[in-house]
Amino acid sequence: MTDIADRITRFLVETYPPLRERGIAPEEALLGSDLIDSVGLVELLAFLEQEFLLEVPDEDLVPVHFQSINALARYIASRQSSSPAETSP
Amino acid sequence: MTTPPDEKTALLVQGFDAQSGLLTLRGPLVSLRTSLDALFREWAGEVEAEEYAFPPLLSVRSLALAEYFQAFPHLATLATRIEPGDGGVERFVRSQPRDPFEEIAPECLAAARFVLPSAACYAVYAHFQDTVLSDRLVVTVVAPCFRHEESYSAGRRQWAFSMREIVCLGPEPAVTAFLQHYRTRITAKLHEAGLPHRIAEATDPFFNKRDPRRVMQKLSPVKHEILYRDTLAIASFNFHRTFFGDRFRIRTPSGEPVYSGCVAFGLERWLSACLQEYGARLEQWPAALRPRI
Repeated sequence: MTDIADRITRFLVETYPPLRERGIAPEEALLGSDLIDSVGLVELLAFLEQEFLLEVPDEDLVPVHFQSINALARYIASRQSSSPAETSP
Repeated sequence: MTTPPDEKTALLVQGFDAQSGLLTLRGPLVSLRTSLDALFREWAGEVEAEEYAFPPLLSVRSLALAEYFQAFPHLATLATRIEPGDGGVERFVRSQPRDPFEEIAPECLAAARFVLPSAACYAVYAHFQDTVLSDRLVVTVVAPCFRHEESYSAGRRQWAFSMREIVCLGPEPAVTAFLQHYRTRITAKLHEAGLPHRIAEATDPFFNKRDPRRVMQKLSPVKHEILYRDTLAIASFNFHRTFFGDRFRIRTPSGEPVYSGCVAFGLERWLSACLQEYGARLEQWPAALRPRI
């Protein structure tokens, strides 16, 4: 899960210049602050889907999954562990 | 013996064209809707809202500033005219069939530069475009609103309906306090009246599910609705953060975009709910839902 959190952190600090200087802690609130605006959230969603090869369904767009980098990492990890195991044809 | 709900709302259904989604009110229903609006106007007076009456049309330019045509193109009702240039009106008159007709071909029409808006508050932001607000500003307005929908239902979902809004612009604490005031005030009134309701998080009907504003509404709930009997949204509380302040360049003296929020009441939906609960005689409605004057 640390690897997932690190990849999300890297994306955020590389994408949002203010975060590059101040950094962002894994438990820091992403929502309800002015850290990321609405366009930024959509960019973050697109990154998660591309980076971790999954689709975030509409019903998973809930604050509990997006409240911090760690919350996002937990969500991604749970999605990965619940994916059906790949089987040979 | 109590009157069944169907009979109580029969007057609404009688005046409804379900295909076009257009509702005609008559007799006591007109007075009841007027009474409900007077009640909401009184509530607006509690925060010294200034009342405005804006033109029913908004320019495409104004709504484009609000990114309306990306967010809600499917709802839009455009206003245009017979193309006047190059003898267009004469040509249109000559080409009319003798029999009554139901539509006018788009090639006869001028480009649409105005819209019949889908919410009353857009006119407020357009009116205050490029202004500086030194303090909190509260405005109230009632307006006919228009939303194209997949299907319609009398008193619940119409193409044309009436909306009263109370809009607050200013510093963030003032706007959040305004929204909290009305949330507390209205739910207290509904408890007093015994109208079955609950508050729920909500999202606007964005055309694109990944519209940034929709994603923000889902992840950081900024819109709440009062649901009557779990199904009918009769009022909404909307916190826009600095979206409209930014787009319409409404700023604080230090140059920052103002925050905004609004409380919206769908008049026909309130009428439908109150008819169902209390019938069509105002004197039988609870005092909490009747205006003082």
